[in-house]
Amino acid sequence: MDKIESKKDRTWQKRAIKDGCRKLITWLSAGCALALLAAIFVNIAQGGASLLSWDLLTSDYASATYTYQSSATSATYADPGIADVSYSSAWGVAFKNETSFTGESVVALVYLAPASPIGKLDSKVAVGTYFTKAFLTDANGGTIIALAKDSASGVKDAFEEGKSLASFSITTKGGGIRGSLLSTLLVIAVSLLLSLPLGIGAAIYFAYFAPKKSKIVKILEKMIDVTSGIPSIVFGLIGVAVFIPFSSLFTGVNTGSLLSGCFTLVIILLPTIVKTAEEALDEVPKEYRTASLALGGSERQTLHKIILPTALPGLLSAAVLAAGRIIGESAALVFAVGNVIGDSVALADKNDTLAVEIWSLLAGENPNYRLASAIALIILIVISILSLSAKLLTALFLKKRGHA
Amino acid sequence: MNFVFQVDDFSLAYGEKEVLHHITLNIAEHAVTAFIGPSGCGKSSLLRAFNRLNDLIPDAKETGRILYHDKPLEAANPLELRSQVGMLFQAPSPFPMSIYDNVAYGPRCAGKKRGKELDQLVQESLEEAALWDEVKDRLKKSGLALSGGQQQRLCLARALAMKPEVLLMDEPTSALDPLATEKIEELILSLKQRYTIVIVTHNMEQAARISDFTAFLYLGDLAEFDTTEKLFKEPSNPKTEAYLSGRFG
Repeated sequence: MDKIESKKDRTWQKRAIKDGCRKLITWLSAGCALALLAAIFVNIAQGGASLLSWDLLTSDYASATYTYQSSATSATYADPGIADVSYSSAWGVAFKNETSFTGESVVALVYLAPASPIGKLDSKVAVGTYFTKAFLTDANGGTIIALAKDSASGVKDAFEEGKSLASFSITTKGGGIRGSLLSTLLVIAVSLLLSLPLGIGAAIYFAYFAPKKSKIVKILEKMIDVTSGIPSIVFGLIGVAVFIPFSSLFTGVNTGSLLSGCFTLVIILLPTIVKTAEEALDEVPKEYRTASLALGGSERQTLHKIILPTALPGLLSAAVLAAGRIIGESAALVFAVGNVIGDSVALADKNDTLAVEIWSLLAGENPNYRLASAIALIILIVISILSLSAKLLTALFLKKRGHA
Repeated sequence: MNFVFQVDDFSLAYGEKEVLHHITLNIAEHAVTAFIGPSGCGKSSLLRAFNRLNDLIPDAKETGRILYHDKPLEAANPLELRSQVGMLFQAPSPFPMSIYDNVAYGPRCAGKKRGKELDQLVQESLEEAALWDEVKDRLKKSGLALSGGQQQRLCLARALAMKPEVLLMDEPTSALDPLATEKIEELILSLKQRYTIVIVTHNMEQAARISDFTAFLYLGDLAEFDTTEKLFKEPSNPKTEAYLSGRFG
């Protein structure tokens, strides 16, 4: 009797240990995955957050340098008394060392006296622009060159010494991602507008109207499965070979444009949209269709009044998935559009999306990791906004249908 | 006696498999006709022939004919036919929309009623299905939030809103508890004044309680068709007798 009892106890112990091990493995792997994701997020946020600013989002990428010839002479202008700036009272201009929003050290013009001859050079010479260089003449007729790399105090010293100004150059703020951000949103909008109707239409066909036993339908479905696994760079080649000539019919431009990029993305997205939309439609109980038809509804009415509304949450998440894929796509777009960072946002223009800009920033000779991180952070924010708005739409819709 | 449906030498096959063989029977107006028989005997398939739901099955093949008011069924427009022949299914299947929209669905599809007239129709239908008092304060709430029995009555109201002539019921109480079942049975008895009802049931007592005529189907054949009283008291077919006394089924 005792023998049997102790054997039973041992079996129980063994089981408890094994279960404990299994639990440990599950918790460990879940913990590792979460830690990894958190590390990625923290890394991006740390690198990019300091650069993230409204200026970065709204400024042009292109910066321009303007040089003005002058014959102005120095005088005396009252010190406005701004702290931590280098003020040249002889010229009525204050310089300050700053870091531009793309992370470079610059000498910014932070104050211009109302009567300062420098402020009168041109309306472009204004507070907020960056000092580049200036040629001045000193009391003895010698030439002084002031350069931005001398830092604010050096530039001030040069100006204090100079008696007359020969030329003055400024650079406008640049490196902003307004163009890339808007291009990204434009590409998302146009690609979704083209691919969602096509993809959902195809999904409706496969889910409801395709003859189930037809060989051709089966082959088509297999092909869709296969195409969703093709690396996007292959589609980039198709973009170059097919969509650049095709979109030039609309844009009149013979090189890559945002439109050719959109067409390429449509092809990349279609298989995923068809699959996810078909799954969403399959989840609608078959009884709804029978019940609707039994009430005298036509197939079309059933589809539009019952099936599509019921599948809407799933269809919306298909759209969000697709938008996520668009925003993250770089390889195909480098081919189909090019990696030109520009400020003009139009379908016929060559411009880059945020993901391509990250690629460009890191592929150059002086990779700018901080700016790349800032853009990555913006991508994360845009995706979050898209996904949240889809959730909100679904909630509003469900409420309208009477679900709590 | 007036007949709504006249089934004449009707056979139905799904692909190679024939599920109904040479059925001949008549469905009397303003009466309850019950189809009973063991699982797979073809009673649901026969029911679905009356509103041509078998059309949805790609390889279904019908021979013989069914007359609806003396006109062949296959000549009728299925959409029009289904608005005159309503149906209630085994599992309550309200649409995932509000109670009001559920009832208004059929009339809206038919493009008939709007506004106040539709409100009136929805109320009448819910009253007829004995559901109005329970839901009148929450017509805008989802139909899925109701209990099983209420959902089935909502489906009944949804069918009644089409002002049909015939109601087909495919085991309407098999997913319900005894109380909800009792309520549906009471409804059937009150509805037969105005509607012709054909009901498929697994439950022989139910057939005995509510039907005027009973058809016993066995392996795709119509084994016996008679008044319910006669079929249950003195069945002429030994198979019927065996089934009723529980020797198989």
